[in-house]
Amino acid sequence: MSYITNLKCKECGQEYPVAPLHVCETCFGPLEVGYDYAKIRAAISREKIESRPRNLWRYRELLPVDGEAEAGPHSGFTPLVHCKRLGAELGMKHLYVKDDTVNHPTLSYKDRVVSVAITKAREFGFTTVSCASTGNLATAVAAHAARAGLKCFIFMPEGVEAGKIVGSTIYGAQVITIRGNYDDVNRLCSEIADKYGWAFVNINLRPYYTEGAKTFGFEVAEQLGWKLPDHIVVPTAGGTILPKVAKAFKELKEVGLVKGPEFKIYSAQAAGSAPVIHALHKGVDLITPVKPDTIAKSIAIGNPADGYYVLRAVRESGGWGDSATDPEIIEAIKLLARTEGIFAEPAGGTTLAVALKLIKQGRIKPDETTVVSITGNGYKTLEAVAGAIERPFVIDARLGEFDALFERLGDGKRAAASA
Amino acid sequence: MERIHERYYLSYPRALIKEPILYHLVKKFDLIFNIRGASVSEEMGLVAVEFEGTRDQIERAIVWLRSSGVTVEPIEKNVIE
Repeated sequence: MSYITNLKCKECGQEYPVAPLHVCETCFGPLEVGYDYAKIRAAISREKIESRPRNLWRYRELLPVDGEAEAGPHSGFTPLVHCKRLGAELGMKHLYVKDDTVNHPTLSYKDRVVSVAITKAREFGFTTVSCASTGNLATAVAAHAARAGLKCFIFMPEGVEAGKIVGSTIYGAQVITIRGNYDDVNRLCSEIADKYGWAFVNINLRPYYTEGAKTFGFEVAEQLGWKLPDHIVVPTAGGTILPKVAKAFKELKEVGLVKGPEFKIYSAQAAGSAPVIHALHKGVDLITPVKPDTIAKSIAIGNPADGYYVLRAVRESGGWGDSATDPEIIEAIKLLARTEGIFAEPAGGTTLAVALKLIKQGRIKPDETTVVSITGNGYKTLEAVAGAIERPFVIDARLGEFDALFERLGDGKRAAASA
Repeated sequence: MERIHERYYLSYPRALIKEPILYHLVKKFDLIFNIRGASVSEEMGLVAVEFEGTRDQIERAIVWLRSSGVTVEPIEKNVIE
């Protein structure tokens, strides 16, 4: 059963039927899925949700699908890790990481949005799905399409690393690399989506696709014992996830699953690609595009489609945002790995680095519940940190060599004393 | 020649805000355009516009806009994620 009422323009409010549409014909504003919250409130309960399998579909009443999930039966419900060692270093008692490094099956938060988009593509009767991507989205679309038995075309700008291409072709997707700059690739993909009538997950299915990001927020609240965090720090690339996490928290209140105090939401961007943070800090609404230059490739979007809605969600919540330089991002990746055993991609390093700044700035206080959103896995971006880690010692295969090294490292005396 | 409709966001940097870019566009390329939204700040201008013309006219207009310093993007902006 579906609880969707319509699609509605976020700008002028014009209503549209539930169809593969994404922009308002009148003002070109983005379309958003509307729900009958009164009906959902009557149909949903904490107990009902808790009785369901641990995947993102446990919140199905608040997702834009009509029937059974066609994708992502194991996606979502990733761990919310209470970071005691990291928290102790930072003087934070209630610091958590929402860990989408282990999202199934492609190890990033994109498994959420793509699960919903592919399910909706099947409901609309599409047989081919597509996207333009340089990394996590491509992998997720290719994997979920394979399992759903859909044809898949992936477009990439020419010059992406060979590994990224392998990450999609392995699932049987047809990968096409396009000569030209990012503006050209964007334009071509919009034209292809228009002409070929495929399900482009982040173009004509965008209203449904983005709704999948709410599950990140639903899970955080459930895992905190049906409470909202005081603060949540979220990375910003195209601007999908942050406004949807804010929407998720509001919906949980709307349908009576959560009560209590409000949350503050914070945007994190890499300093080399921080158009939203620039606008936030200047107090303006218009986002001036930038040319990205950062190791955090998965969030290097110079002109985010939903950047304005990130600003709006941050400001409405009383939150803030900041950016992190590449060295700060690498240090944060290492810090999270060293203290909590979680290896994040640079987007996660960015979020943690920004969280550290917000704590230093006094915006986040030591006893407040704070969630840092880690949206992708470091094993996919080893090259980003490879130059910044300690190199291994090399010894010959003789015990004496190791004894000498152990002594030199300063651990030998401690080992002997404790023996 | 078949006439098509295409939808774009045009971003003007500060230096171009006072230039009558769309006027030049009509004069040079004989395009029909329809503005659907616009915002201007101290730093930049943003116009949501629909062009009507032949593919060739629109292609040449976009090349000219870009060479004039205007950023031309589909209304979906960045779709590469």
